[in-house]
Amino acid sequence: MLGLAVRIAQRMELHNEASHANHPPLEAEMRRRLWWALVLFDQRISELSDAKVSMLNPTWDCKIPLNINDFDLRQEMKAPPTEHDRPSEALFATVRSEINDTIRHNSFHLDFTIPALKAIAKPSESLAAMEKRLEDKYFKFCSMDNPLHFITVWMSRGLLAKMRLLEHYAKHSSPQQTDENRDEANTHAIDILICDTMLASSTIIKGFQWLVHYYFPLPAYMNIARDLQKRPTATIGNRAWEAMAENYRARFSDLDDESPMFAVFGRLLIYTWKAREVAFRNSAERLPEPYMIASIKQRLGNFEDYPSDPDRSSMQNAESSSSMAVPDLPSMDFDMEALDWTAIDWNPIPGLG
Amino acid sequence: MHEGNDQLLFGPRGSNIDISALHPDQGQIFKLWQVYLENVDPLLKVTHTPTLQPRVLDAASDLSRVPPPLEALMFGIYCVSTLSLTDDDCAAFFGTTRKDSLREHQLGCQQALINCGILRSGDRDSLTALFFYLVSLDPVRTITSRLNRQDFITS
Repeated sequence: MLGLAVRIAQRMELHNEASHANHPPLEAEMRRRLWWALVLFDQRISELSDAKVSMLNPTWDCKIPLNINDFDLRQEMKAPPTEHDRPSEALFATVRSEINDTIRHNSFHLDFTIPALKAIAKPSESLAAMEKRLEDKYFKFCSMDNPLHFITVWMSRGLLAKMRLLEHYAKHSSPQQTDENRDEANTHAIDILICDTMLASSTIIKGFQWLVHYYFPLPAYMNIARDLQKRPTATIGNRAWEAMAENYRARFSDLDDESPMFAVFGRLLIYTWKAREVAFRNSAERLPEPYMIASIKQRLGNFEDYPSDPDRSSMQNAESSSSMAVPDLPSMDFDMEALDWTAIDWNPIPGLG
Repeated sequence: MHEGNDQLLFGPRGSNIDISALHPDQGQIFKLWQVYLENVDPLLKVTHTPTLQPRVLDAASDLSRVPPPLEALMFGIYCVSTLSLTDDDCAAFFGTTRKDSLREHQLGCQQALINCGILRSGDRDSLTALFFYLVSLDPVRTITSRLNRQDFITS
């Protein structure tokens, strides 16, 4: 159905900058805003449904929304208004579109979506350059008591962290990765969670939570969890667990969540915690079960449906079709031998939780 | 009229529903409009408040004569505003659960979209209404796709 909306938009030529010239400035600007809103929504839905292809690509040229207030646009205008040099009412829409305008031309984004389109992509600035530019143009003028500014800054930072993670995968796609590389990826994932925690736990943006809800950072959890299942004793583990625990509290404390996504997410974390327990079981310090794990166990009930001895062959088959929601990760090295599955006690630990 | 194609959108319809009866009462319309301006418009910016507000207030005073694209847009606004409310807010403002309210407005929006022939339309208000309707479906909770496979959980 969303595909339908995008097709209607294309039929109306909303994606085509040249067509906007046929409309008065107010209508032209509203058309651009609608196109970008649709593209960003389409991109998010694609990520959630694991589809690779979305409209966030370089095949169209509609300009991004202007940083202006609604009263700057009037029906009788003959020329477009000048942009503000300070944050306007359109800040969130403008900044989000601006970041994604760079992303859609970026070679690592295209690596994971439609590599053939790299041929028509415009050369785009580095993430570091974009980050500096956003800071100078917008963020340094933003006030954290202002809900619109707050959500703009933190969603942008989260998006930039996600792009850094993506760029990392694009650059380090071989199966053998050093511990430093893995830690670097985890650092980006942790940053994603920290930004999301700022958003989900904020009382200032209470009315905007419906949008924050759309951007649950499952790939960040996934990246951390998969790595910690392999390297449960990595030193970055403590920071990673803390970031996950904080985000869990922010996201799930009040929620009575029965969604399938929660079930999958919950089980992912349970398995990851098990790996850590096994790794530390002979250590002098017993690890206390985090609130997050106890809470997940309570919500998901008994884990009777878990196999007591996970089928290794089915997992090896799964390797060849990596199943990240976004991005579709190159297969990182799945060193099954590193973890002795038969040593793990999959039954729920009595007395805890 | 290619009504058969419209069924592709939302499934088979019964007899035509008179959607002017599906609008909330005037006070609730104004409330939903306020919620939209506070919670939704700042983030999406796909409507122009100075030009839309007079049209909405006007329409609310005579719901039997609202042009179809504007009517669809109003229902879209009800949907997306309700999405942004908590259960407590809905109970306080409208005396319903968020889920029930959302469902009601979505049904109205579906019919309104069919009434403006969205599949054939080139009207920006209608497309905006469709966009709001889609956003309000909140697919985060329902999309699972490949997520449910065991291989997703254990590496």
